[in-house]
Amino acid sequence: MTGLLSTGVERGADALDGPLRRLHAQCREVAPSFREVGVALDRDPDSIRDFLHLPAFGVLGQVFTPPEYQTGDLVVDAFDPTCTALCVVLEALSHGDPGAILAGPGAGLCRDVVRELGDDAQREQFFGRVDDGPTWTFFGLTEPGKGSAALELDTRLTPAPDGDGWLLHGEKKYIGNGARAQIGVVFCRRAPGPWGIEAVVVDPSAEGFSGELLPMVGLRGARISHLRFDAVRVPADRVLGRHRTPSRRGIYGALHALLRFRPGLGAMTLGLTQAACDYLAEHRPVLPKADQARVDALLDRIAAVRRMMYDVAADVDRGVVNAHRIGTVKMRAAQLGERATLLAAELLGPASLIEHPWLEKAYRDLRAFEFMEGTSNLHRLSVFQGLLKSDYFPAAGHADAPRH
Amino acid sequence: MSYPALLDALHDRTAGDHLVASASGVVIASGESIAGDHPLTRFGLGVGRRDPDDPLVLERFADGLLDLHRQLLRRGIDHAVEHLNGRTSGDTTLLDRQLVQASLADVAVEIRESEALRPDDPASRWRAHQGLTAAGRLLLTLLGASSFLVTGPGGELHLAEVTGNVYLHPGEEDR
Ligand SMILES: Cc1cc2nc3c(=O)[nH]c(=O)nc-3n(C[C@H](O)[C@H](O)[C@H](O)COP(=O)(O)OP(=O)(O)OC[C@H]3O[C@@H](n4cnc5c(N)ncnc54)[C@H](O)[C@@H]3O)c2cc1C
Repeated sequence: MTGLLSTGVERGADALDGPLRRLHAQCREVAPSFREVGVALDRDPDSIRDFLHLPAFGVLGQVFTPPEYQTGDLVVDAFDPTCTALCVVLEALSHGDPGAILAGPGAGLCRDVVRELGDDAQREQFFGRVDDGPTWTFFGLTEPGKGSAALELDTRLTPAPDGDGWLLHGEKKYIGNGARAQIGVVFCRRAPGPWGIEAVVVDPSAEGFSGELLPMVGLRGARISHLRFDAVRVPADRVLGRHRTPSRRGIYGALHALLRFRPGLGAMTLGLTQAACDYLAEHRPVLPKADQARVDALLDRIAAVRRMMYDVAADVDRGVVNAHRIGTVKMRAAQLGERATLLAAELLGPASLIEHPWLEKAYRDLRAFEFMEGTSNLHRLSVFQGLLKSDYFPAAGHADAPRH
Repeated sequence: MSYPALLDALHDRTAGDHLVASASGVVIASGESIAGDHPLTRFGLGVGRRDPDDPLVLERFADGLLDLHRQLLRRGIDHAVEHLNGRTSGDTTLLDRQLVQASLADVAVEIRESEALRPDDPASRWRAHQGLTAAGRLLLTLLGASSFLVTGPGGELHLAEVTGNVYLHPGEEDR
Protein backbone atom coordinates (compact mmCIF):
# COMPACT_ATOMS: atom_id res chain seq x y z
CA MET A 1 0.00 0.00 0.00
CA THR A 2 1.30 3.44 -0.89
CA GLY A 3 -1.69 5.76 -0.76
CA LEU A 4 -0.90 6.75 -4.36
CA LEU A 5 -3.66 7.32 -6.89
CA SER A 6 -3.45 6.04 -10.45
CA THR A 7 -2.04 9.48 -11.32
CA GLY A 8 1.05 8.56 -9.28
CA VAL A 9 0.47 11.17 -6.55
CA GLU A 10 -1.58 11.18 -3.37
CA ARG A 11 -5.04 12.71 -3.06
CA GLY A 12 -4.74 16.46 -2.77
CA ALA A 13 -1.61 16.65 -4.92
CA ASP A 14 -3.55 16.56 -8.18
CA ALA A 15 -2.53 20.10 -9.13
CA LEU A 16 1.15 19.15 -9.50
CA ASP A 17 2.42 19.48 -13.06
CA GLY A 18 4.28 16.78 -15.02
CA PRO A 19 7.85 17.61 -13.93
CA LEU A 20 6.83 17.81 -10.27
CA ARG A 21 4.99 14.49 -10.53
CA ARG A 22 8.14 13.01 -11.96
CA LEU A 23 10.16 14.49 -9.10
CA HIS A 24 7.62 12.99 -6.69
CA ALA A 25 7.94 9.58 -8.33
CA GLN A 26 11.74 9.68 -8.24
CA CYS A 27 11.73 10.64 -4.56
CA ARG A 28 9.19 7.95 -3.66
CA GLU A 29 11.46 5.45 -5.38
CA VAL A 30 14.40 6.19 -3.06
CA ALA A 31 12.33 6.97 0.05
CA PRO A 32 11.83 3.38 1.32
CA SER A 33 15.55 3.15 2.13
CA PHE A 34 14.92 5.80 4.81
CA ARG A 35 12.79 3.32 6.80
CA GLU A 36 15.87 1.33 7.73
CA VAL A 37 17.83 4.51 8.43
CA GLY A 38 15.09 5.79 10.73
CA VAL A 39 15.00 2.59 12.76
CA ALA A 40 18.80 2.52 13.05
CA LEU A 41 18.93 6.17 14.14
CA ASP A 42 16.26 5.57 16.74
CA ARG A 43 18.60 3.03 18.33
CA ASP A 44 21.81 4.94 17.73
CA PRO A 45 21.59 8.53 16.47
CA ASP A 46 25.29 8.43 15.57
CA SER A 47 24.88 5.64 13.03
CA ILE A 48 23.96 8.23 10.38
CA ARG A 49 27.39 8.02 8.72
CA ASP A 50 26.70 4.39 7.73
CA PHE A 51 23.93 5.56 5.42
CA LEU A 52 25.17 8.72 3.74
CA HIS A 53 25.86 6.84 0.49
CA LEU A 54 22.10 6.32 -0.03
CA PRO A 55 20.62 8.18 -3.01
CA ALA A 56 17.93 9.67 -0.77
CA PHE A 57 20.61 11.75 0.99
CA GLY A 58 21.76 12.92 -2.44
CA VAL A 59 18.25 14.23 -3.08
CA LEU A 60 18.42 16.19 0.16
CA GLY A 61 21.70 17.69 -1.03
CA GLN A 62 19.90 18.84 -4.16
CA VAL A 63 17.12 20.45 -2.12
CA PHE A 64 19.16 22.17 0.51
CA THR A 65 22.11 23.40 -1.56
CA PRO A 66 21.38 26.41 -3.77
CA PRO A 67 21.92 25.33 -7.39
CA GLU A 68 24.92 27.65 -7.85
CA TYR A 69 26.80 25.76 -5.10
CA GLN A 70 25.90 22.21 -6.11
CA THR A 71 28.87 20.10 -7.13
CA GLY A 72 27.75 16.48 -6.59
CA ASP A 73 26.01 14.21 -9.10
CA LEU A 74 22.28 14.71 -9.49
CA VAL A 75 20.16 11.86 -8.08
CA VAL A 76 16.88 13.14 -9.47
CA ASP A 77 16.30 15.40 -12.47
CA ALA A 78 17.41 18.97 -11.83
CA PHE A 79 14.55 21.10 -10.49
CA ASP A 80 13.96 24.68 -9.44
CA PRO A 81 14.32 24.85 -5.64
CA THR A 82 10.85 26.33 -5.22
CA CYS A 83 8.73 25.96 -2.11
CA THR A 84 6.46 23.60 -4.07
CA ALA A 85 9.40 21.39 -5.03
CA LEU A 86 10.56 21.44 -1.40
CA CYS A 87 7.13 20.14 -0.35
CA VAL A 88 7.13 17.44 -3.03
CA VAL A 89 10.56 16.15 -2.01
CA LEU A 90 10.09 16.39 1.74
CA GLU A 91 6.69 14.71 1.76
CA ALA A 92 7.88 11.87 -0.47
CA LEU A 93 11.06 11.25 1.53
CA SER A 94 9.22 11.51 4.85
CA HIS A 95 7.03 8.65 3.74
CA GLY A 96 10.30 6.79 4.33
CA ASP A 97 11.34 8.59 7.50
CA PRO A 98 11.41 12.31 8.42
CA GLY A 99 13.95 11.63 11.17
CA ALA A 100 16.47 10.62 8.52
CA ILE A 101 15.95 13.97 6.80
CA LEU A 102 16.52 15.88 10.02
CA ALA A 103 19.57 13.77 10.79
CA GLY A 104 21.22 14.39 7.44
CA PRO A 105 24.10 16.74 6.68
CA GLY A 106 23.57 19.90 4.65
CA ALA A 107 22.41 23.47 5.02
CA GLY A 108 18.87 22.57 6.17
CA LEU A 109 17.00 25.49 7.67
CA CYS A 110 20.13 27.69 7.37
CA ARG A 111 19.83 27.59 3.60
CA ASP A 112 17.33 30.42 3.28
CA VAL A 113 18.74 32.63 6.00
CA VAL A 114 22.28 32.52 4.58
CA ARG A 115 21.07 32.87 1.02
CA GLU A 116 18.81 35.77 1.90
CA LEU A 117 21.05 37.69 4.32
CA GLY A 118 24.59 36.73 3.42
CA ASP A 119 26.77 38.80 1.12
CA ASP A 120 28.65 36.98 -1.65
CA ALA A 121 31.64 36.16 0.55
CA GLN A 122 29.44 34.87 3.39
CA ARG A 123 27.42 32.69 1.07
CA GLU A 124 30.56 31.36 -0.55
CA GLN A 125 32.11 30.65 2.84
CA PHE A 126 28.99 28.93 4.25
CA PHE A 127 27.91 26.83 1.29
CA GLY A 128 31.54 26.07 0.41
CA ARG A 129 31.98 24.65 3.90
CA VAL A 130 28.75 22.65 3.64
CA ASP A 131 29.84 21.20 0.32
CA ASP A 132 33.22 20.17 1.71
CA GLY A 133 32.42 16.57 2.76
CA PRO A 134 29.44 15.70 4.95
CA THR A 135 28.86 18.81 7.05
CA TRP A 136 26.11 19.19 9.61
CA THR A 137 24.61 22.58 10.36
CA PHE A 138 22.28 23.94 13.03
CA PHE A 139 19.75 26.75 13.24
CA GLY A 140 19.91 28.20 16.76
CA LEU A 141 16.91 30.28 17.72
CA THR A 142 15.13 28.65 20.71
CA GLU A 143 16.54 29.29 24.20
CA PRO A 144 15.96 27.54 27.53
CA GLY A 145 13.68 30.39 28.64
CA LYS A 146 12.26 31.48 25.27
CA GLY A 147 10.61 29.33 22.65
CA SER A 148 7.42 30.79 21.20
CA ALA A 149 8.50 34.27 22.29
CA ALA A 150 11.63 33.99 20.15
CA LEU A 151 11.81 37.75 19.53
CA GLU A 152 12.57 38.18 23.22
CA LEU A 153 15.72 36.07 23.03
CA ASP A 154 18.49 36.74 25.55
CA THR A 155 21.68 35.36 23.94
CA ARG A 156 23.99 38.38 23.72
CA LEU A 157 26.51 39.60 21.19
CA THR A 158 28.99 42.07 22.69
CA PRO A 159 31.96 43.82 21.10
CA ALA A 160 35.19 41.94 21.85
CA PRO A 161 37.27 44.01 24.31
CA ASP A 162 40.34 43.68 22.05
CA GLY A 163 38.34 45.19 19.18
CA ASP A 164 38.55 42.02 17.10
CA GLY A 165 34.94 41.11 16.24
CA TRP A 166 32.31 40.04 18.75
CA LEU A 167 31.75 37.70 21.70
CA LEU A 168 28.69 35.47 22.02
CA HIS A 169 27.21 34.68 25.45
CA GLY A 170 24.15 32.59 26.24
CA GLU A 171 22.39 29.29 25.61
CA LYS A 172 20.22 27.66 22.97
CA LYS A 173 18.04 24.63 23.63
CA TYR A 174 16.29 22.02 21.48
CA ILE A 175 18.60 22.71 18.54
CA GLY A 176 18.60 20.02 15.84
CA ASN A 177 22.11 18.63 15.17
CA GLY A 178 23.52 21.29 17.51
CA ALA A 179 26.05 19.04 19.23
CA ARG A 180 27.21 17.40 16.00
CA ALA A 181 27.37 20.37 13.60
CA GLN A 182 30.50 21.85 12.09
CA ILE A 183 28.83 25.20 11.42
CA GLY A 184 25.60 26.91 12.42
CA VAL A 185 23.62 30.11 12.60
CA VAL A 186 22.85 31.63 16.01
CA PHE A 187 20.32 34.39 16.58
CA CYS A 188 21.47 36.75 19.28
CA ARG A 189 20.94 40.22 20.69
CA ARG A 190 23.31 43.11 19.98
CA ALA A 191 20.85 45.77 21.17
CA PRO A 192 17.33 45.94 22.70
CA GLY A 193 14.25 45.44 20.53
CA PRO A 194 13.55 43.27 17.49
CA TRP A 195 15.99 45.14 15.24
CA GLY A 196 18.74 44.54 17.78
CA ILE A 197 18.75 40.84 16.86
CA GLU A 198 21.58 39.56 14.66
CA ALA A 199 22.17 36.27 12.89
CA VAL A 200 25.78 35.14 13.19
CA VAL A 201 27.60 32.17 11.71
CA VAL A 202 29.28 30.19 14.47
CA ASP A 203 32.04 27.61 14.34
CA PRO A 204 31.44 25.00 17.08
CA SER A 205 35.18 24.32 17.36
CA ALA A 206 35.65 27.87 18.71
CA GLU A 207 36.67 28.22 22.34
CA GLY A 208 33.74 28.63 24.75
CA PHE A 209 31.27 26.63 22.63
CA SER A 210 29.84 23.48 24.18
CA GLY A 211 27.00 21.20 23.18
CA GLU A 212 25.14 18.43 24.97
CA LEU A 213 22.76 15.92 23.47
CA LEU A 214 19.26 15.91 24.99
CA PRO A 215 17.43 12.60 25.55
CA MET A 216 14.35 12.96 23.34
CA VAL A 217 11.26 10.77 23.11
CA GLY A 218 11.36 10.60 19.32
CA LEU A 219 13.10 11.90 16.17
CA ARG A 220 16.30 10.85 17.85
CA GLY A 221 18.34 11.11 14.68
CA ALA A 222 17.82 14.88 14.79
CA ARG A 223 20.13 14.95 17.82
CA ILE A 224 18.33 17.75 19.59
CA SER A 225 20.92 19.57 21.67
CA HIS A 226 21.54 22.14 24.36
CA LEU A 227 24.24 24.61 23.33
CA ARG A 228 26.19 26.97 25.57
CA PHE A 229 28.25 29.96 24.45
CA ASP A 230 30.76 31.27 26.93
CA ALA A 231 32.33 34.30 25.23
CA VAL A 232 32.59 32.52 21.88
CA ARG A 233 34.47 34.76 19.46
CA VAL A 234 32.55 35.71 16.33
CA PRO A 235 34.70 37.42 13.66
CA ALA A 236 33.12 40.60 12.30
CA ASP A 237 32.61 39.07 8.87
CA ARG A 238 30.41 36.32 10.38
CA VAL A 239 27.55 38.70 11.15
CA LEU A 240 25.12 37.86 8.39
CA GLY A 241 23.81 40.77 6.35
CA ARG A 242 26.21 43.32 7.82
CA HIS A 243 25.79 45.24 4.55
CA ARG A 244 22.04 45.63 5.25
CA THR A 245 20.07 47.88 7.59
CA PRO A 246 19.17 46.32 11.00
CA SER A 247 15.51 45.92 9.97
CA ARG A 248 16.56 43.83 6.95
CA ARG A 249 18.81 41.36 8.73
CA GLY A 250 18.73 39.38 12.02
CA ILE A 251 15.14 38.60 12.89
CA TYR A 252 14.00 39.45 9.37
CA GLY A 253 16.26 36.62 8.19
CA ALA A 254 14.87 34.20 10.78
CA LEU A 255 11.30 34.93 9.80
CA HIS A 256 12.16 34.78 6.13
CA ALA A 257 13.72 31.34 6.52
CA LEU A 258 11.08 29.94 8.88
CA LEU A 259 8.07 31.05 6.87
CA ARG A 260 9.45 29.69 3.62
CA PHE A 261 10.39 26.40 5.21
CA ARG A 262 7.12 25.96 7.14
CA PRO A 263 5.10 24.42 4.27
CA GLY A 264 7.98 21.93 3.93
CA LEU A 265 7.64 20.99 7.59
CA GLY A 266 3.94 20.44 6.95
CA ALA A 267 4.98 18.22 4.04
CA MET A 268 7.25 16.15 6.26
CA THR A 269 4.43 15.71 8.75
CA LEU A 270 2.00 14.69 6.02
CA GLY A 271 4.51 12.22 4.59
CA LEU A 272 4.77 10.31 7.85
CA THR A 273 1.05 10.68 8.54
CA GLN A 274 0.25 9.16 5.16
CA ALA A 275 2.80 6.43 5.83
CA ALA A 276 1.00 5.57 9.09
CA CYS A 277 -2.30 5.28 7.20
CA ASP A 278 -0.66 3.18 4.49
CA TYR A 279 0.90 0.94 7.13
CA LEU A 280 -2.52 0.38 8.66
CA ALA A 281 -4.04 -0.43 5.25
CA GLU A 282 -1.24 -2.88 4.56
CA HIS A 283 -1.66 -4.72 7.87
CA ARG A 284 -5.46 -4.47 8.11
CA PRO A 285 -6.65 -4.41 4.49
CA VAL A 286 -10.21 -5.16 5.57
CA LEU A 287 -11.77 -3.21 8.43
CA PRO A 288 -15.27 -3.24 9.91
CA LYS A 289 -17.39 -0.60 8.17
CA ALA A 290 -17.46 1.83 11.09
CA ASP A 291 -13.68 1.69 11.47
CA GLN A 292 -13.12 2.13 7.75
CA ALA A 293 -15.31 5.23 7.95
CA ARG A 294 -12.98 6.66 10.61
CA VAL A 295 -9.96 5.99 8.42
CA ASP A 296 -11.69 7.51 5.41
CA ALA A 297 -12.55 10.63 7.39
CA LEU A 298 -8.89 10.96 8.31
CA LEU A 299 -7.75 10.45 4.71
CA ASP A 300 -10.19 13.17 3.58
CA ARG A 301 -8.54 15.56 6.00
CA ILE A 302 -5.04 14.58 4.96
CA ALA A 303 -5.95 15.26 1.32
CA ALA A 304 -7.44 18.63 2.29
CA VAL A 305 -4.34 19.71 4.20
CA ARG A 306 -2.14 18.52 1.34
CA ARG A 307 -4.19 20.67 -1.03
CA MET A 308 -3.82 23.66 1.31
CA MET A 309 -0.10 22.97 1.56
CA TYR A 310 0.41 23.07 -2.19
CA ASP A 311 -1.67 26.18 -2.30
CA VAL A 312 0.44 28.10 0.24
CA ALA A 313 3.60 26.77 -1.41
CA ALA A 314 2.42 28.11 -4.77
CA ASP A 315 1.72 31.42 -3.04
CA VAL A 316 5.26 31.53 -1.66
CA ASP A 317 6.62 30.78 -5.12
CA ARG A 318 4.82 33.80 -6.52
CA GLY A 319 6.01 36.01 -3.66
CA VAL A 320 2.89 35.90 -1.47
CA VAL A 321 3.82 34.80 2.04
CA ASN A 322 0.65 34.57 4.15
CA ALA A 323 1.81 33.51 7.62
CA HIS A 324 -1.76 32.82 8.77
CA ARG A 325 -2.51 30.29 6.04
CA ILE A 326 0.97 28.76 6.16
CA GLY A 327 0.61 28.27 9.92
CA THR A 328 -2.76 26.57 9.40
CA VAL A 329 -1.13 23.92 7.22
CA LYS A 330 1.65 23.24 9.68
CA MET A 331 -0.76 23.11 12.65
CA ARG A 332 -3.33 20.85 11.02
CA ALA A 333 -0.72 18.49 9.64
CA ALA A 334 0.73 18.02 13.13
CA GLN A 335 -2.70 17.37 14.60
CA LEU A 336 -3.59 14.87 11.87
CA GLY A 337 -0.30 13.08 12.47
CA GLU A 338 -1.16 12.40 16.09
CA ARG A 339 -4.67 11.36 15.13
CA ALA A 340 -3.36 8.94 12.49
CA THR A 341 -0.97 7.12 14.80
CA LEU A 342 -3.51 6.90 17.62
CA LEU A 343 -6.06 5.46 15.20
CA ALA A 344 -3.59 3.02 13.63
CA ALA A 345 -2.54 1.78 17.09
CA GLU A 346 -6.18 1.26 18.02
CA LEU A 347 -7.17 -0.53 14.82
CA LEU A 348 -4.13 -2.79 14.80
CA GLY A 349 -5.39 -4.25 18.05
CA PRO A 350 -4.09 -5.06 21.54
CA ALA A 351 -0.34 -4.65 22.03
CA SER A 352 0.00 -3.14 18.54
CA LEU A 353 2.63 -0.74 19.88
CA ILE A 354 4.74 -3.74 20.88
CA GLU A 355 4.04 -5.98 17.89
CA HIS A 356 4.60 -3.17 15.35
CA PRO A 357 7.87 -1.43 16.30
CA TRP A 358 7.71 0.83 13.23
CA LEU A 359 4.32 2.10 14.35
CA GLU A 360 5.56 2.68 17.90
CA LYS A 361 8.38 4.79 16.50
CA ALA A 362 6.09 6.78 14.18
CA TYR A 363 3.74 7.22 17.17
CA ARG A 364 6.55 8.89 19.12
CA ASP A 365 8.05 10.82 16.20
CA LEU A 366 4.83 12.42 15.04
CA ARG A 367 4.30 14.21 18.33
CA ALA A 368 7.36 16.43 17.67
CA PHE A 369 5.77 18.31 14.80
CA GLU A 370 3.45 20.21 17.13
CA PHE A 371 6.47 22.09 18.49
CA MET A 372 8.69 22.68 15.50
CA GLU A 373 7.99 25.93 13.64
CA GLY A 374 5.47 27.27 16.13
CA THR A 375 2.93 25.59 18.37
CA SER A 376 -0.77 25.27 17.54
CA ASN A 377 -1.72 28.01 20.00
CA LEU A 378 0.53 30.46 18.20
CA HIS A 379 -0.90 29.51 14.83
CA ARG A 380 -4.47 29.78 16.09
CA LEU A 381 -3.70 33.26 17.37
CA SER A 382 -2.16 34.07 14.00
CA VAL A 383 -5.30 32.88 12.19
CA PHE A 384 -7.29 35.24 14.40
CA GLN A 385 -4.96 38.11 13.47
CA GLY A 386 -5.47 37.19 9.84
CA LEU A 387 -9.22 37.41 10.31
CA LEU A 388 -8.90 40.86 11.88
CA LYS A 389 -6.88 42.03 8.89
CA SER A 390 -9.26 40.33 6.42
CA ASP A 391 -6.19 38.46 5.27
CA TYR A 392 -7.04 34.87 6.10
CA PHE A 393 -9.42 33.67 3.40
CA PRO A 394 -7.94 33.79 -0.09
CA ALA A 395 -9.46 36.37 -2.40
CA ALA A 396 -12.09 35.20 -4.90
CA GLY A 397 -10.48 33.88 -8.05
CA HIS A 398 -7.52 32.51 -6.11
CA ALA A 399 -6.95 28.78 -6.62
CA ASP A 400 -7.96 28.05 -3.04
CA ALA A 401 -11.07 30.26 -2.98
CA PRO A 402 -14.44 28.45 -2.93
CA ARG A 403 -15.64 27.68 -6.45
CA HIS A 404 -19.43 27.89 -6.84
CA MET B 1 8.23 7.64 42.15
CA SER B 2 8.86 6.96 38.46
CA TYR B 3 6.25 5.34 36.21
CA PRO B 4 8.21 2.04 35.94
CA ALA B 5 8.43 1.85 39.75
CA LEU B 6 4.72 2.65 40.12
CA LEU B 7 3.91 -0.02 37.54
CA ASP B 8 5.97 -2.61 39.41
CA ALA B 9 4.15 -1.73 42.62
CA LEU B 10 0.83 -2.26 40.81
CA HIS B 11 1.96 -5.67 39.56
CA ASP B 12 2.90 -6.50 43.11
CA ARG B 13 -0.41 -5.36 44.60
CA THR B 14 -2.43 -7.15 41.93
CA ALA B 15 -0.75 -10.53 41.51
CA GLY B 16 1.83 -10.67 44.29
CA ASP B 17 3.92 -13.57 43.10
CA HIS B 18 4.27 -12.78 39.39
CA LEU B 19 4.03 -10.02 36.80
CA VAL B 20 0.56 -9.67 35.28
CA ALA B 21 0.37 -10.75 31.63
CA SER B 22 -2.17 -9.10 29.30
CA ALA B 23 -4.83 -11.05 27.38
CA SER B 24 -2.45 -11.06 24.41
CA GLY B 25 0.32 -12.51 26.59
CA VAL B 26 2.51 -9.41 26.64
CA VAL B 27 3.99 -8.30 29.97
CA ILE B 28 5.24 -4.78 30.66
CA ALA B 29 7.13 -3.90 33.82
CA SER B 30 10.19 -1.92 34.84
CA GLY B 31 13.52 -2.63 33.18
CA GLU B 32 14.71 -4.02 36.52
CA SER B 33 11.90 -6.58 36.53
CA ILE B 34 12.25 -7.55 32.87
CA ALA B 35 15.69 -7.31 31.33
CA GLY B 36 16.21 -7.11 27.56
CA ASP B 37 16.67 -4.76 24.67
CA HIS B 38 13.53 -3.03 23.46
CA PRO B 39 12.82 0.55 22.32
CA LEU B 40 11.03 1.00 25.65
CA THR B 41 14.16 0.05 27.61
CA ARG B 42 15.39 3.60 27.10
CA PHE B 43 12.32 4.79 29.01
CA GLY B 44 12.94 2.34 31.86
CA LEU B 45 10.52 -0.41 30.84
CA GLY B 46 11.01 -4.01 29.84
CA VAL B 47 8.76 -6.20 27.70
CA GLY B 48 8.19 -9.94 28.21
CA ARG B 49 5.73 -12.67 27.25
CA ARG B 50 3.79 -15.20 29.34
CA ASP B 51 0.46 -16.95 29.41
CA PRO B 52 -2.34 -14.44 29.95
CA ASP B 53 -3.58 -13.85 33.46
CA ASP B 54 -7.06 -14.65 34.69
CA PRO B 55 -9.72 -12.06 33.58
CA LEU B 56 -10.45 -11.05 37.17
CA VAL B 57 -6.80 -10.28 37.80
CA LEU B 58 -6.69 -8.35 34.53
CA GLU B 59 -9.72 -6.30 35.56
CA ARG B 60 -8.11 -5.24 38.82
CA PHE B 61 -4.87 -4.49 37.04
CA ALA B 62 -6.73 -2.43 34.40
CA ASP B 63 -8.45 -0.31 37.06
CA GLY B 64 -5.07 0.20 38.70
CA LEU B 65 -3.58 1.35 35.38
CA LEU B 66 -6.31 3.93 34.92
CA ASP B 67 -5.63 5.22 38.44
CA LEU B 68 -1.95 5.41 37.63
CA HIS B 69 -2.62 7.32 34.43
CA ARG B 70 -4.74 9.85 36.34
CA GLN B 71 -1.97 10.14 38.92
CA LEU B 72 0.55 10.97 36.17
CA LEU B 73 -1.79 13.59 34.78
CA ARG B 74 -2.25 15.21 38.20
CA ARG B 75 1.51 15.32 38.55
CA GLY B 76 1.76 16.65 35.02
CA ILE B 77 -0.61 19.52 35.81
CA ASP B 78 1.50 20.54 38.82
CA HIS B 79 4.60 20.37 36.68
CA ALA B 80 2.95 22.43 33.91
CA VAL B 81 1.73 25.13 36.30
CA GLU B 82 5.24 25.57 37.66
CA HIS B 83 6.85 25.37 34.21
CA LEU B 84 4.47 27.86 32.59
CA ASN B 85 4.61 30.24 35.53
CA GLY B 86 8.36 30.44 35.03
CA ARG B 87 8.15 31.34 31.33
CA THR B 88 7.31 34.78 30.03
CA SER B 89 6.05 36.17 26.77
CA GLY B 90 5.59 39.93 26.50
CA ASP B 91 4.87 41.26 29.96
CA THR B 92 3.06 38.17 31.30
CA THR B 93 3.84 34.58 32.15
CA LEU B 94 2.62 31.84 29.83
CA LEU B 95 0.38 30.72 32.70
CA ASP B 96 -1.40 34.08 32.41
CA ARG B 97 -2.45 33.34 28.83
CA GLN B 98 -6.10 32.40 28.61
CA LEU B 99 -5.56 29.77 25.92
CA VAL B 100 -3.11 28.06 28.25
CA GLN B 101 -5.43 28.35 31.25
CA ALA B 102 -8.33 26.87 29.29
CA SER B 103 -6.25 23.88 28.21
CA LEU B 104 -5.06 23.23 31.75
CA ALA B 105 -8.65 23.40 32.93
CA ASP B 106 -9.70 20.91 30.23
CA VAL B 107 -7.08 18.45 31.44
CA ALA B 108 -8.25 18.82 35.03
CA VAL B 109 -11.91 18.37 34.06
CA GLU B 110 -11.08 15.17 32.19
CA ILE B 111 -9.33 13.77 35.26
CA ARG B 112 -12.36 14.54 37.45
CA GLU B 113 -14.81 13.12 34.94
CA SER B 114 -12.66 10.05 34.45
CA GLU B 115 -12.70 9.40 38.20
CA ALA B 116 -16.50 9.44 38.06
CA LEU B 117 -16.71 7.10 35.06
CA ARG B 118 -16.37 3.85 37.05
CA PRO B 119 -15.87 1.64 33.98
CA ASP B 120 -17.03 -1.91 34.51
CA ASP B 121 -16.16 -3.78 31.32
CA PRO B 122 -13.23 -3.89 28.89
CA ALA B 123 -14.88 -1.54 26.38
CA SER B 124 -15.62 1.16 28.93
CA ARG B 125 -12.12 0.85 30.41
CA TRP B 126 -10.66 1.36 26.94
CA ARG B 127 -12.81 4.43 26.41
CA ALA B 128 -11.63 5.78 29.76
CA HIS B 129 -8.04 5.18 28.66
CA GLN B 130 -8.66 7.05 25.42
CA GLY B 131 -10.05 10.02 27.35
CA LEU B 132 -6.95 10.12 29.53
CA THR B 133 -4.70 9.78 26.50
CA ALA B 134 -6.36 12.77 24.84
CA ALA B 135 -6.00 14.81 28.05
CA GLY B 136 -2.34 13.81 28.27
CA ARG B 137 -1.69 14.90 24.71
CA LEU B 138 -3.25 18.29 25.47
CA LEU B 139 -1.14 18.63 28.59
CA LEU B 140 2.01 17.83 26.65
CA THR B 141 1.33 20.54 24.08
CA LEU B 142 1.50 22.99 27.00
CA LEU B 143 4.99 21.89 27.94
CA GLY B 144 6.41 22.74 24.52
CA ALA B 145 9.60 21.01 23.45
CA SER B 146 10.30 20.05 27.08
CA SER B 147 7.47 17.53 26.71
CA PHE B 148 9.60 15.72 24.17
CA LEU B 149 12.29 14.92 26.73
CA VAL B 150 12.40 11.31 27.92
CA THR B 151 12.75 12.57 31.48
CA GLY B 152 9.54 14.20 32.63
CA PRO B 153 5.85 14.03 31.80
CA GLY B 154 6.42 13.36 28.06
CA GLY B 155 8.33 10.14 28.65
CA GLU B 156 6.02 8.98 31.43
CA LEU B 157 2.80 9.63 29.55
CA HIS B 158 4.18 7.77 26.54
CA LEU B 159 4.68 4.76 28.80
CA ALA B 160 1.14 5.05 30.15
CA GLU B 161 -0.18 5.11 26.58
CA VAL B 162 1.82 2.06 25.53
CA THR B 163 0.90 0.16 28.69
CA GLY B 164 -2.78 0.94 28.06
CA ASN B 165 -2.43 -0.24 24.46
CA VAL B 166 -1.20 -3.56 25.84
CA TYR B 167 -3.44 -4.12 28.88
CA LEU B 168 -6.57 -2.05 28.21
CA HIS B 169 -7.20 -2.56 24.52
CA PRO B 170 -10.22 -4.89 24.51
CA GLY B 171 -9.72 -6.41 21.07
CA GLU B 172 -12.05 -6.03 18.13
CA GLU B 173 -15.16 -7.74 19.49
CA ASP B 174 -15.37 -5.73 22.70
CA ARG B 175 -14.31 -2.34 21.41
C1 LIG C 1 12.07 17.87 17.58
C2 LIG C 1 12.31 19.33 17.76
C3 LIG C 1 13.28 19.98 16.99
C4 LIG C 1 13.55 21.34 17.18
N1 LIG C 1 14.55 21.94 16.45
C5 LIG C 1 14.86 23.25 16.67
C6 LIG C 1 15.97 23.85 15.98
O1 LIG C 1 16.66 23.21 15.18
N2 LIG C 1 16.24 25.16 16.24
C7 LIG C 1 15.51 25.91 17.11
O2 LIG C 1 15.82 27.08 17.28
N3 LIG C 1 14.47 25.35 17.81
C8 LIG C 1 14.13 24.04 17.60
N4 LIG C 1 13.08 23.45 18.31
C9 LIG C 1 12.36 24.24 19.31
C10 LIG C 1 11.00 24.75 18.85
O3 LIG C 1 11.17 25.77 17.91
C11 LIG C 1 10.25 25.25 20.11
O4 LIG C 1 9.89 24.09 20.81
C12 LIG C 1 9.00 26.06 19.78
O5 LIG C 1 9.36 27.31 19.33
C13 LIG C 1 8.09 26.21 21.02
O6 LIG C 1 8.80 26.76 22.08
P1 LIG C 1 8.80 26.06 23.53
O7 LIG C 1 9.05 24.62 23.34
O8 LIG C 1 9.75 26.81 24.39
O9 LIG C 1 7.34 26.24 24.06
P2 LIG C 1 6.79 27.50 24.91
O10 LIG C 1 7.00 28.75 24.16
O11 LIG C 1 7.30 27.42 26.29
O12 LIG C 1 5.23 27.19 24.91
C14 LIG C 1 4.62 26.38 25.91
C15 LIG C 1 3.12 26.38 25.69
O13 LIG C 1 2.62 27.70 25.83
C16 LIG C 1 1.88 28.06 24.67
N5 LIG C 1 2.07 29.50 24.41
C17 LIG C 1 3.25 30.14 24.26
N6 LIG C 1 3.03 31.44 24.04
C18 LIG C 1 1.68 31.61 24.03
C19 LIG C 1 0.83 32.73 23.85
N7 LIG C 1 1.32 33.93 23.61
N8 LIG C 1 -0.51 32.52 23.91
C20 LIG C 1 -1.02 31.29 24.13
N9 LIG C 1 -0.26 30.21 24.33
C21 LIG C 1 1.08 30.36 24.28
C22 LIG C 1 2.43 27.21 23.56
O14 LIG C 1 1.47 27.04 22.54
C23 LIG C 1 2.71 25.93 24.29
O15 LIG C 1 1.54 25.18 24.38
C24 LIG C 1 12.80 22.09 18.14
C25 LIG C 1 11.80 21.45 18.88
C26 LIG C 1 11.55 20.08 18.71
C27 LIG C 1 10.49 19.43 19.54
